[in-house]
Amino acid sequence: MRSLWIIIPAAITHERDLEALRALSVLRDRLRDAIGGRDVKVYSALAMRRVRPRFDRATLNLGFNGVVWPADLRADYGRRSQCPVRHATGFLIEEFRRVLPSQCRQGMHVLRILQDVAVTDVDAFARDVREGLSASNDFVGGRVRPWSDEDSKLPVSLGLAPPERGTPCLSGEVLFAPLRVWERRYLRLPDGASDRDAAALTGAWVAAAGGKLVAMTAAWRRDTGGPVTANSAPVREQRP
Amino acid sequence: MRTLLIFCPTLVVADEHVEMIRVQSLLRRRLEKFNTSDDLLIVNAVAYDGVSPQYIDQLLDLDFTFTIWEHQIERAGGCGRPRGARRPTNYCIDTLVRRLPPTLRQSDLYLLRIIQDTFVLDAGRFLQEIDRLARPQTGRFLAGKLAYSTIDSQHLLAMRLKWVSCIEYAHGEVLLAPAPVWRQFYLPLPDEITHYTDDVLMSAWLKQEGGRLIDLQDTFAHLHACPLDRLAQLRDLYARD
Repeated sequence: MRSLWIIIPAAITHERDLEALRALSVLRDRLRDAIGGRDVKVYSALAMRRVRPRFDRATLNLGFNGVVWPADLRADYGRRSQCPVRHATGFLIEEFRRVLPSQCRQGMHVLRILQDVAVTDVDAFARDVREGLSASNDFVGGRVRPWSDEDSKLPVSLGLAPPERGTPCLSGEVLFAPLRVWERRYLRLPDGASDRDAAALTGAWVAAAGGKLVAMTAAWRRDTGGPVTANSAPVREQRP
Repeated sequence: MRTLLIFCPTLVVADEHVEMIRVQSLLRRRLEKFNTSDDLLIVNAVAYDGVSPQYIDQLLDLDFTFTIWEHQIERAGGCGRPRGARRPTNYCIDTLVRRLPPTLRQSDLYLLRIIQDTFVLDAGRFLQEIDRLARPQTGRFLAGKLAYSTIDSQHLLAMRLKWVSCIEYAHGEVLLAPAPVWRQFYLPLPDEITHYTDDVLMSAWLKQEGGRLIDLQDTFAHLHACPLDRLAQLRDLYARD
């Protein structure tokens, strides 16, 4: 049995954040319709890094299969990255190992979506996800971009061999891979690496090791601010 | 604001246990339909004391505000060693309450423990009773079905409480009390007090300290060894209300 877990690290400090999470909670059900079935189970999990007290009540019962509360992250007994997004992502990945037995983790894929990403075309998004699910080897999906000079300081500072300039890597708004790739690549990067760096390096190393980069670009967009209404169109589109 | 935190200490090692907790997961939404108090917020939690691996994927879709897995209970400090319902109960009273979102933690918090094979049959009357009791003016209380025990008196002496031959107590299948009462009269119970006697000793201690035992109306039933077909009926009832 294969499973797909959508995971979202989030900070809730604005009404817009809540609305984005409500939309992303619906995404699970849309993907269940589009790709779920007897052989793929779709779940979702939310890790809340920070919640403004006035949004406390609204965060209860958002409809995710798993929820990590800020107090859980603060009391984290796992590794602790300095980057909040990496910390929350890593916590969720490690939580899978702590909670799920090995038979549930086999064939498991993790789709990490940042909270300000709005999926604008669920059917097209599902096609990209299906392509990844059908891959027999390691892969990472997301927005493919070339390794740039701006990136190149990180591996050196970490004592790692830098990928060559122009090597395909990934940005991390949407990051999709088998659980084993997350565990072997993303989690093993030093705590000092930011999430942006970790996404880029994970993609570059998977590609360098013969894995596949799956381009997932057409079906989502990132809204990094603006009034609530700026994000409301994709939210409506995601809702059935 | 008042918060009612319903929590279910749960062990899942059989098909029936999965169905039991599936029914329990419906209780929050069921009670919300009868909630007419603007100041009463209802949340629910399940605390798994143990789950056989083959059942885990069936538990992932259940609707609980807070889900606590066995590894969390084991890792949390101060949970004590006792097995059975005591360990997850300790976790909920202590760690979960401390980790609640601030708005809930700072409200008037009432904890309602429901054992996994106990089911609410009349949700409207059940909530009405809870809404009436879960108020600051009720004071220090423990509510449940009242009963008597004549076999647990020896524990009173071990706990340095006054000996009585017959202890009146609120049965542990459904227990409602303010969070401070749970913290003061349940959490410090010695490890040797199992979940068969935690209700008796908590009741006796609270009563000797001037607290009240309150008899809950007969709106629920403790169904030992409840078969799957009966659980299916209960699930329909919970979903229909």
